Amino acid sequence: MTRTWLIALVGLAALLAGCAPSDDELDYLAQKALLERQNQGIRELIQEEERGSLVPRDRFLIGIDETVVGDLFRSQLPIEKPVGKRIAVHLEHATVSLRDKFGIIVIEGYANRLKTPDRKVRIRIHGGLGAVSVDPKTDLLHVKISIDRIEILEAGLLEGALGSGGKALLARKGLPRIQEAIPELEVPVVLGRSIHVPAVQEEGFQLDSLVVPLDLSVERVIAGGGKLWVTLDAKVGKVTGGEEGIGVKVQTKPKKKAGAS
Amino acid sequence: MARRELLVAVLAALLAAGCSRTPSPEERRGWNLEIERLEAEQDSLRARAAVLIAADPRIQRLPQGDVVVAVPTAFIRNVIDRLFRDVANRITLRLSGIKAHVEKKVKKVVTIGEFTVDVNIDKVVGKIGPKPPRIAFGGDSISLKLPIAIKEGRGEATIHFVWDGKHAAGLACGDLDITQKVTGNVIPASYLVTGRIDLRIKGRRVVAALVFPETKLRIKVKPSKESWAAIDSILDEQKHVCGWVLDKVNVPSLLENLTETKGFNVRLPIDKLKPVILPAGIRDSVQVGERSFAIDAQTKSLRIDPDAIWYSAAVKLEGVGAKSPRE
Repeated sequence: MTRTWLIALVGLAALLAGCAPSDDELDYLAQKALLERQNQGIRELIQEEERGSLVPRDRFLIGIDETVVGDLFRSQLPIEKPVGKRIAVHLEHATVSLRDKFGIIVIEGYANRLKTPDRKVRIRIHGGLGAVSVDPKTDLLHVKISIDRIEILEAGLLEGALGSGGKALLARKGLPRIQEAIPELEVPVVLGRSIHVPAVQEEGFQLDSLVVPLDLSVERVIAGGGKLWVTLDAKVGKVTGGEEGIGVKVQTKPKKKAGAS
Repeated sequence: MARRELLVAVLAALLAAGCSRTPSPEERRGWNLEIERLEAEQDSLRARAAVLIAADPRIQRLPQGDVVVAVPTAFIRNVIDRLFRDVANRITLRLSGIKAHVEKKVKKVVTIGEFTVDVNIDKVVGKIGPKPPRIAFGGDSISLKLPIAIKEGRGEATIHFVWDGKHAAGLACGDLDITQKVTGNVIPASYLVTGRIDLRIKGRRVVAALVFPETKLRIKVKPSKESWAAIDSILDEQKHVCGWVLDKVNVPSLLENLTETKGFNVRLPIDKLKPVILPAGIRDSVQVGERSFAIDAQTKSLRIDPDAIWYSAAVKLEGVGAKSPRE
């Protein structure tokens, strides 16, 4: 059986089951999912605070305000990205709210077929914080946006024909492709992977430069109090430089007249 | 999405649309109740979280700013420990050009002469043995106590003894000018070097600079048996005419006092070490796609607590709004 026929059968099954939810039901389900997610986030924050690990004592902690994260994300807009060979997605507006552990990111825009750019399907993308990493090339913090759900606001010519159930099905189908179109955020917080002890080459005192390598790993990412909080562990590696021995040379300049010098 | 797949998906969506249910009044009431329950739960959870946060002094002391960075003091301690452990025991201390000088008039009713003794350290090579450093954080400073030991060492020195006889002594044995190369071993000793680390803002990064008062180590050297033998031999040659002068001056005791008891003050040039940049900070620009934005960062606070170094800044992305169409 081909994939095409399988999808057709699923659609037919949906028809036979009479299961497409109404607009009101979809609104209710979306609101319920959001509240449940927020409540779960607050519950987990409370648990962390009760364990005393919300602000960890032995880890690097980076906090970035939602205005900075929002400005960075919005600075990339408008974005036009092809999704597959025939569809293009345009992202135009975004709001970022970093509370309740997961954060809420809402992006609005539209999608169209490349051949018919005037026929727009308006979309709203709901997401939150995704994975955070330290870019090994730039040492900058990178944040991914994770999409939870796509809402089709207006389906253009198909609006009347699709109905709420049809729009939901289309949105689910397009989700993985649109996820690819959402850019990663580069946050201007730099986390060096080493500490450099500069060389000293002065008369009477020479010291080779030393490098203390650091193994940084992101441990936790949470949204709270209007900030993105990233916790990192940093393990200190073996110091390199001066393996052949380090010479500290102390040479006193000759003095003409002195006591014990 | 392939054309056929898209068509089928749209078809399926159209079919699904055709069977949209209309909710009953009971269903709607149930939904409203469920939303109300979740909202009430959220209010309760937020109230609980607010109480916990208000009671947590660490959260209350979080610095204000668009970007907040905390570097744990455990990490700083670890880095200093590691530097000491991996590096300090590989350090070879090389001393040269260090001098000790004594001059004195010898009197017997009147001045019978003047002597000077110069000990020039030509070269001393010693190995340093570190012990775990003691580091304390708080009160906006990092204080350091670095115990170090000179475990072993060997050196070469030139001893120069000059006797300028006056009056009868000058007539009897004239002047003496003795130069002798000697070798010796450094007497092992422990030292405690005390100072602090100051944190400063340099650009958008925090740098740690060592601040140590002038630090001097008193290094003592024990001349070798061979060196003593050489010195004794020279002095013996002079003893037949100037024995009473040499007895009065007591050159061996003078040398012993200079090299083994008093020692040589060596200034440790810790202040020459350059500041080190801490690994977390704010970059001055950020790349967003093909565009680069300057970051305007104004430091708001830099604080050293017992468990973390806190740095915060007000950050603004410059040029946001001047958008250009791009992919």
